Amino acid sequence: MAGLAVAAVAGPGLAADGQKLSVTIYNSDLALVQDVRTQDIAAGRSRLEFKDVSARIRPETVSLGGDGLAIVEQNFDFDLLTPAKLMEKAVGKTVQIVRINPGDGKQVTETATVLSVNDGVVLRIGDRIEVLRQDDVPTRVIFDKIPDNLRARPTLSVTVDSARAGARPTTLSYLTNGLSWKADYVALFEEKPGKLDLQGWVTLTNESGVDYRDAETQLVAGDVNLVRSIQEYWQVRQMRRQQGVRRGGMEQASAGGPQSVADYYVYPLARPTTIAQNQTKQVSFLDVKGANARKAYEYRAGGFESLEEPAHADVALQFANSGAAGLGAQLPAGVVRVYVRDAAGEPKFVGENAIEHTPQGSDISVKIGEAFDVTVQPTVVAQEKAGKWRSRYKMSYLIRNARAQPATVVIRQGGLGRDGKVIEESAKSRRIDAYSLSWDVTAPANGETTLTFTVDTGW
Amino acid sequence: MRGGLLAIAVLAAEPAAAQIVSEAPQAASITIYRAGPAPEDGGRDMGPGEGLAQITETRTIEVPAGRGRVSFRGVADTIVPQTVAIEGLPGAVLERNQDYDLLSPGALVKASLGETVRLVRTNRATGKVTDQPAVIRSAADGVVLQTAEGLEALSCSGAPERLVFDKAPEGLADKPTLSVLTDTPKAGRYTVRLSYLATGFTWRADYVAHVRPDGRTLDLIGWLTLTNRTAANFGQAPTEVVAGELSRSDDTRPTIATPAPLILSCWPRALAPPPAPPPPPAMAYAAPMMAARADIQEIMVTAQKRAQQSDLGDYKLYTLPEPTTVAARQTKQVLFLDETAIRFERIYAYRLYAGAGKVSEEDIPDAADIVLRLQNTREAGLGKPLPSGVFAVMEADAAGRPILAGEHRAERDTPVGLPLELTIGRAMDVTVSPRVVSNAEEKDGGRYEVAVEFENRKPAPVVVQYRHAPYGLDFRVEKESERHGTKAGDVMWTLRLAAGEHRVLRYTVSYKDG
Repeated sequence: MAGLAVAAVAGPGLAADGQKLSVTIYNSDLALVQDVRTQDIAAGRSRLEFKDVSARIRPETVSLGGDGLAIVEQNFDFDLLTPAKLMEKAVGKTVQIVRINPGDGKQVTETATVLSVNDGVVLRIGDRIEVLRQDDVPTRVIFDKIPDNLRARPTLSVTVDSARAGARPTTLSYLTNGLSWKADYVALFEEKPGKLDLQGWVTLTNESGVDYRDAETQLVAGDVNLVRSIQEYWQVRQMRRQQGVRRGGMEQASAGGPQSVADYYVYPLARPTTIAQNQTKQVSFLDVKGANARKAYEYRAGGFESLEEPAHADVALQFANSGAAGLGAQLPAGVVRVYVRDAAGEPKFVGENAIEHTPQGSDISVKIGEAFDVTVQPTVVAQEKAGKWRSRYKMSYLIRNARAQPATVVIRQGGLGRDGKVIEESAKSRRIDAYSLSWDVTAPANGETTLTFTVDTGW
Repeated sequence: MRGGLLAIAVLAAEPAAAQIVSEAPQAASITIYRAGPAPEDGGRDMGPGEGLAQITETRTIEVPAGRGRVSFRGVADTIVPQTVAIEGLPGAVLERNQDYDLLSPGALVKASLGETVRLVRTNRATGKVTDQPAVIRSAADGVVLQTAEGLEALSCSGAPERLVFDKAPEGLADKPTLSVLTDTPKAGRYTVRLSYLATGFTWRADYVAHVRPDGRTLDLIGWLTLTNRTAANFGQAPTEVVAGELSRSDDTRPTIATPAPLILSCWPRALAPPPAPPPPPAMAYAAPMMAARADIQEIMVTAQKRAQQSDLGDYKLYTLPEPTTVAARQTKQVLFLDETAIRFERIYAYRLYAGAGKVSEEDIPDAADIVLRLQNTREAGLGKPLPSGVFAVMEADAAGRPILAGEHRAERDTPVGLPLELTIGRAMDVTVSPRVVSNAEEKDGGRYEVAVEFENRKPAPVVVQYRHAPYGLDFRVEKESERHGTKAGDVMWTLRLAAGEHRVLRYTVSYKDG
């Protein structure tokens, strides 16, 4: 390495000439950073040092590209400059020691050679051997220079072989941990008209150790197999570049919309943004007013059992994210927080739940809580033998409603086995799958109703 | 040289956004949810995701035209940043940020890496102070400085020295700071509403029932016990609580900011082991305990005004009668229920699980439960939503003094129209003794006979409900000395025993193996 020209390159937190920084953030604590900047590189071999790259860089993913550049080697040095290391590297070398007399404050400077740093520092001063500060007298140690390869921060260095001298754009890209994003939704539900206002926010978090200033930011939604998908992503991106496609902005209500790339979605932010270290940043990506939505009560029984006390029915907010329902957007995974207006018209929080990545045209049901006034009490009325490996269950579900409006509860009965079938029922059932049935049961306002049925099932 | 470069870069990168700081809300209102178990006593602290409140603040801010960054200080320290909603800004919100790079001794040094600071040394003997420029070369594990003399490590010489900085680094704040970036079309004074969720608040319901001398009615009062485990204090604020089970997400939790520590490591140093420190005086132990106890909580019981109940979606909303201060680390109680002469029935309940008829002594409960059964209806004198909570039941002794008869924890909310059963203890004067007297095997199953002795040693008649849990398939009662009913899938006999009565119930059950 001796005699190699070394150029220090500032990191993503610092602006540089002609710099274009782009950051692609994945859901799973991972981001792809691409740093394009103009650099003057001498002909022949030289070493470029990148300071202030993410402290959580994955060094094996670093690549540097530029016209006429060939990479000789890449190093990620994390041997940090500390007082202890400074002393260790000074073994066999001379340092200045300054003793300060505690009685009169006089300072005496001497030259010493560090003999060893093992559980204490042994020095030779002239023809004496001493242990540093053994007498507890204040003693400064002055070193003449920073040893090679000790750095204030982990530093990425790339040795390149340049075919020519001169300034040119170079592209540094790498993967880093410590950057992540998720979606957060605010759903304001109006029960009477059955309408929903849905706002979507992307929430970025940067704990990677550095700032990303004025970065073009895009977010990738989808549980991607990253090893494979990043290559695909680059191919698609490359293709798009060649076709000269401009990406739409991500203004409110997703004007331009997200781009579908392979089997996941890329959401570009509308304008370059600065993502500071230890920062949570939220940018709006969806703002839909008046989508169709409804409230539903549901009770799920996994098997046949009696309950000593009534259970509260679940309350779910149901909507479809199709264009026809007023909400034409796929929704990246995140938490939906639901609000309703109180008597004074103020939005009040009523519950939250996570949704998965949801493609356009899906039906979404978000459980927000349990209804105070709507309860379900199942009772096994009889449990009979119906054959060698078969049973017959006679069930009764008492649905009580203390609300001033009728309540329709979807009762889901699971736990059916082979050839499970309904023998008799007080309301018409729906078959959900081989093992579950459901009934829609309406309890009148301030009243109760009972669902009874008998099913016959193998084990 | 490098220091200069950094300074220029920071200036160039900072966008020309006006900085507006809103220090504190003018007014706030709080809605507290019953999220997670409420602490029963003052000792337990809530975890970072426990407890929940919605806080709505009103703030007035002066905003210049153009791009501005509005910072909101004085929000609850347990704010969940992604739940913030801001209304009333004249322009669009471009982004919302929460910055939690905190100013700490470590952050101060790290942020000045490569920059020139002043190294100030004081000579202990002469008192002379020297001051020289130094460049911070490293702040990784110990601080390395470069002065005109060479490289030195901070605080490794044993002589007093300190670093002096010209200014605090930009972007480091004392607390996590919430801000929005907005474009304002017209300068002016605007009133904005800031709404967000914060953890660390919770409430619970506590009930006290006094049984009246007639033994058939009781008086019931209910308290809302509000707890604020945060450092937030909003002064007199309209306060509400929400009863009902909300779904919660683990993501709804405040940012945990960890300030960078200043580590002043040095090279190894050989020394005689330091003398053991003298034992601290006894007061040193006593003081922290006293401090901790003082920190526990302050319990405030407000005047006997009742919280008003209304509906919020499928939940119940209780509005406190007047704005109140739920101060930091305080518990406050407000009355929400005060009903008199509620009819109830006292029942002695006993449940036998005898399986296939082979029961050991340990499996048989040795006493009946005392159950007070209420109907939550207006006809019975109640008819009010009852959030889950602990019911303390008081009875009067012979001298008319109230004594605690027992407590019951209602795990579920009780809506209007449903029965409520308070199991307050074990009977002493009413005994139930079941025995399996014969047990026969049959094809694919079996049959057994049970004899149950009931004895009422009380001077008054009692009602006993005796239940037998079903077993296997085709479970049925074949013979019985009294007619049975059912409850929650069990067969149940209801017996009325006169004062001093002794009675035997005999029945035979059969089943098929499942």
